[in-house]
Amino acid sequence: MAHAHDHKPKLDLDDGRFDPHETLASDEAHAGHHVHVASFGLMFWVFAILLVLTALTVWTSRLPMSHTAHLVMAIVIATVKALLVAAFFMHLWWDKALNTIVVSATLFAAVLFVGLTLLDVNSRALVTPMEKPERIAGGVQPTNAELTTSGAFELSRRAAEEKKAKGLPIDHDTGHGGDKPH
Amino acid sequence: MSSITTKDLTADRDLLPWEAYVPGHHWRNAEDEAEGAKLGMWLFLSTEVLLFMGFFTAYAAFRMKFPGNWYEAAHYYLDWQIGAINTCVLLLSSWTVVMAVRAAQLAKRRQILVYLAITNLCALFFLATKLILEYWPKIQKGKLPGANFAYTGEVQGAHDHIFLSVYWISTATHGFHVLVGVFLISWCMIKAAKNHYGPKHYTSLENVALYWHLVDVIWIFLFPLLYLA
Repeated sequence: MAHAHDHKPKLDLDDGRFDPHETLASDEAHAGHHVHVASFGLMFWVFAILLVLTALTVWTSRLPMSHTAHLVMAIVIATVKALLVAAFFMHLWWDKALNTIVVSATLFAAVLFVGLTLLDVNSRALVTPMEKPERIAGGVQPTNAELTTSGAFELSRRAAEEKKAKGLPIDHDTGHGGDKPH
Repeated sequence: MSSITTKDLTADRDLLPWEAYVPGHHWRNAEDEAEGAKLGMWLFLSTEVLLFMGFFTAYAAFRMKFPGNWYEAAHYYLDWQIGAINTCVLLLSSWTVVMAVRAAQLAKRRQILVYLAITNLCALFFLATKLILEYWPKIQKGKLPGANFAYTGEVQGAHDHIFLSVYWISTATHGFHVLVGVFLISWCMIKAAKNHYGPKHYTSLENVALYWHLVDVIWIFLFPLLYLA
């Protein structure tokens, strides 16, 4: 089996220079060495659109909307900007599909990472009453409204207050003491 | 059997390093080598995305717990104008890196150097703004992350220290990446000055560019989430 490097470099008589690709006297060396040169105009427009989207995200942040609506707007605009950078500045649009597959798999893992963590954090309150049977035995039945994240903190705070009233030691792991800094 | 090295070919004075570049002997050709290096870079960038996802998860979890305090703290402690200027500066630097790679593809050495110099100036402007206008005043007021947060002077809400913990860890990690980028771009400038980049070979420049764009993408998310939303 002949290796490409067994071939000696050939002298290009036209300009008296070596062509390093001539040293790889295999068909592969010449087959499809196509470099995509980004067009100046397209890249400038992508840059301009990114600046416009930055202005847009600042503008939407000043609209009278709920906190959640602000968050959603910020994430949507940032995602559009990130896609523009990835597709054009990072060349994924012209690259082999493999690189896009790697990024997509990463984003899938990232969504699982954030999504499952948030599911856990947001459903702790559903578990808390079961972990603390004395709260239910003591007559504190959690309402549906309390079975939320902030509800869990409210229950902890109430439990801490009850213990304090009875002179029992407060469980500092769960009682954040409401809104007072500690 | 003799193998040809880059050194052998650069012995010819007329040949520039990028013209004389020969891929590693285990590669079929230069294109395969460049593609392989780029795939490796994308795998590294994937781990970077997951690293920052940890901070975004902390952001999401604590924001869900303290939605009101979170929003108020973001607007109380951070100046959106500084964040917006830094966003534009990083976007500009991303564009100049794109243009530097383009200049390499077109064998324009001087253009590579000019565009990379602008990129580095943007990066240094970003770091200077961050340190002088954002980090230093917070350090002086004791608005440090976690247990080091000083509840003296003006305090906005009960969970400010948690917001500032997320702010510090995510922006400081991002800032460290910017600093690393300054060194990488400087390295590329040295290589460009020595004529190592041209249409046939610009692998390291292209991969440093990918790294720099990722740093930009991370900031694209950090800016609205921390300063605006």
